[in-house]
Amino acid sequence: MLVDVYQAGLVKEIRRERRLNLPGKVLVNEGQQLEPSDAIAEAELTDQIYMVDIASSLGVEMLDVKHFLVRQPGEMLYEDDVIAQVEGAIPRLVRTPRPGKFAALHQGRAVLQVGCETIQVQAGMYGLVQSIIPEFGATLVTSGLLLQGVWGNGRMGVGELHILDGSWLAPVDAGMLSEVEGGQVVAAGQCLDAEVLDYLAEREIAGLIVESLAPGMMSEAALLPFPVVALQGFGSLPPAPFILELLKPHAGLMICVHAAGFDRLAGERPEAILSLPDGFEGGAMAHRMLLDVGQRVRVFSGEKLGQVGEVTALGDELVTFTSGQRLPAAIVRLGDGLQITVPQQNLVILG
Amino acid sequence: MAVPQHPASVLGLDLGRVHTRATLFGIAEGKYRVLGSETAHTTLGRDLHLGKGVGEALKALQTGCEHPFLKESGGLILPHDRLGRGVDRVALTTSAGPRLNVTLLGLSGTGSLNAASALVDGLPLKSVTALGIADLVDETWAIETLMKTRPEIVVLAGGEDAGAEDPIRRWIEVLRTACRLMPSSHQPVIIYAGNPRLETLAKRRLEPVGKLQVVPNILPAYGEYDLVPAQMALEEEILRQWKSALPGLSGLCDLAKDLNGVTCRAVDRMVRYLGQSKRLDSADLAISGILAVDLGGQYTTVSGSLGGLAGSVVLDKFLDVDDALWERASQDVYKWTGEGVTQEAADQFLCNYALVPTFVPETQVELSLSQAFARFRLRQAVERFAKNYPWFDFRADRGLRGHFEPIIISGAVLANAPNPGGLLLALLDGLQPWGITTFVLDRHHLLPLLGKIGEAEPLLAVQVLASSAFDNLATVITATADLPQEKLALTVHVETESGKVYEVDVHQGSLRRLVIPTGEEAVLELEPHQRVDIGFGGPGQGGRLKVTGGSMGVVIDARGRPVQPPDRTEERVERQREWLRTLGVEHD
Repeated sequence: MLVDVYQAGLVKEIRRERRLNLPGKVLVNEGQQLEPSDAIAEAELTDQIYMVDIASSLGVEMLDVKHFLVRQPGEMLYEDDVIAQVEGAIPRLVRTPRPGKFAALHQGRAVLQVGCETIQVQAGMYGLVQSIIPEFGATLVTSGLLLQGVWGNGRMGVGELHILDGSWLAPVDAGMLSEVEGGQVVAAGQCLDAEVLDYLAEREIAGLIVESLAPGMMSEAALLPFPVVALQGFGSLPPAPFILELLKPHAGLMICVHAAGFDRLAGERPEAILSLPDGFEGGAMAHRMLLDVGQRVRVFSGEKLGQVGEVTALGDELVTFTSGQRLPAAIVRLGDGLQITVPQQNLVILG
Repeated sequence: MAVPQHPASVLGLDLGRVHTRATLFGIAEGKYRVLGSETAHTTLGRDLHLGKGVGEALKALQTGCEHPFLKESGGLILPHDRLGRGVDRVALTTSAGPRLNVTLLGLSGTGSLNAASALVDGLPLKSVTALGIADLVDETWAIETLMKTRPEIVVLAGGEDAGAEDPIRRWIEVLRTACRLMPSSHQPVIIYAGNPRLETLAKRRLEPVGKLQVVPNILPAYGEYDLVPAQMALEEEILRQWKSALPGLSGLCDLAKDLNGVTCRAVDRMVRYLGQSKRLDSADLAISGILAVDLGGQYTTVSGSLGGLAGSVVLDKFLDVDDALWERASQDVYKWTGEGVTQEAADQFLCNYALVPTFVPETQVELSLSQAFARFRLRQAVERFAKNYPWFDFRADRGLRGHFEPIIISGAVLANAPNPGGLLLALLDGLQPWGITTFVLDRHHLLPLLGKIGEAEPLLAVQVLASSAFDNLATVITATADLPQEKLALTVHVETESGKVYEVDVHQGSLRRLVIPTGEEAVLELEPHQRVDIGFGGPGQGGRLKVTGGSMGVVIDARGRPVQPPDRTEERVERQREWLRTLGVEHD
């Protein structure tokens, strides 16, 4: 069965495409080393216009305006430039009140493009430009620790990794936050108290990687000014000790949080990347893979919701669960050795 | 003149966001029948190809039915060979793609913009802005708004036939200017669906700046919608964009030649057809309609037809985090769960359910939570339907008035429910129908395929509809009155085909089930209390009703409208369990 994959481990080659969704200008070169805040490509979109009413000013018919233009659509105009005039004994002039590009005529009025929104795509990670996507962006590559989550609030940030070890045993409380400093990326197990988020916002941290948040905190987390990635989801879910073990050796190093929304079509997941020098073998995995024996999985249903284990068998026969559903099942050995039977489609692979 | 040959077999592919279904239609005993239907997971996502999921479904289908249609290489034998292997045609419907952003331009919120909203709501589209006549006061702002929202499609409506022209002229100019200021790669597709007197102007001014399609006015007269031509144009555009976004879709559509389309449109077509034939067949003058409800892995779709009018809505299954309905969804899930769960547990379920689209309930609690969420989805969809179509009389405080029979149900949540009783209760609570209706299960999601195939092979659609491919879930008689609880509301005399004769009293506030085996006919003599309406023409009106038993027989719902679960948790759980017991669902 094909199931979703979330990577959590060291990966030899993390390759990410960063691209605009409309054509623009690529600002980087192949082989260039980038920082997370570096702009990769940008495009300008007109978002402000100004109309100069030529027909009324000259007292001519709307359709006749084009005969009186002295500047043409496509030209750049400066303040007080004459844009149209009626010659005669008493000439009448129309000047541009502000600078802008003369974009078009609209109902006897000149449309000036006076403001542009610059749309940028940033690197969001430390990495090398592997290839350029002409007009749109580039593909970046790095190696290091990759942690993918199920939910993100759409923001991006980078900072020094600060781990709240205790939160893998009990939910984050005020006592655990005393050493948190502004600009850090905080990694935590369970976070069930909304005041913790307020406190972290006050401290102006650079990001939060958390195993689970209380369900009621989703809307608040969505509005926080820093990126938030939930690795497991929402509720009182047991944090996975192996995540803590993965993070621990890298405390104090810079980690990038790219809390993009989950996009199944684009294969984008909210994630954190901590770049490390090459020297390990973990491979990048596909976004969805066939479930198989030996894989590490997280359980998304039943009494063991949120627990991590290893697939020990995939049943050939359908199994009837207590809901009454008859489904393909997997046997999963949890961290404490307990073996459970879970519907295959309620598992995700942790790579 | 050559007589057109009917195909011996047709392969139907339905590609949803979560599941891919393959169905083989062929001839058995001289009539078209469903020879087999299988499901696989849709192979959707980066680096995946839709053909892989289709291939798995096809392999399973070939194994399950005795009709070989695959080459050894896995390719399709098309058309059939000398040995009869293969299929003659392929039809495809899909709902796997993302919603496209649409901006609506029109005149009034109660007129053209309302019609345009109904149009957009009936398709996998997302309305990002709706601008009306009042917005023309500041054309600069209107042009900026059009540029900032970057729609993929603009629908320009307004002005009834021979109606207002000036504001439409202005919208044409505003749109023209906005398009000229957009990068050429991002100029939207424009659907002109307004006053036909301005079609020529629209063509002259808008064709040079965007891809324009002119369709008949969606509001030819006040209160009169004509959405189908615009829907067809939009469907074409949706499919075009999905083909470029979803790897494999284009090739699969090529296999289907002209028989491919967007799922909800195909269902809509089928519902219109069924509604139409019902009108023609109807001996009495009572207006009776059809309703089709699909609770899919990505969308909730309701299509309905009544008295020659028809419409549909397509809503996202899951709400955005900032959706104003989130709190209501959470409260509804909590209130309709027949288990003693906390509000927080309901919230937790709702949040996490959205994260794993393939999720299936493993425990009783999860099943109850997912069926509670199904009630919310049903309610949300029929409320939106009623907002868009005044002839659809649903109100949360009194349920669904009007006679819709059958109500056809599809979607994994419903069609694969482990017990029909729990499913039926969710449907009754979510839709709260009045009068007499029949719930029919479309387990294999055949309706869209029949809608699509029917365009070329109407005989196939007609014969499959008349076959046993659809399951009769139950006939439901709703007895509504303002009687005190437990007062006798209805007496039913039952005479079954097998000779059983008995009488049942139904009291106000209760739910009763008459066990009539699937396929067996029975005649019911219904005698309601003088204040009780059972859909026979008003309070106190009864009569004889011939029914055919479904898996749940006949269910009489005298719980009143609206059905409100008690506030106290223990009472609520007990009441739900009692209703479920009535419907044959025993609790551990």
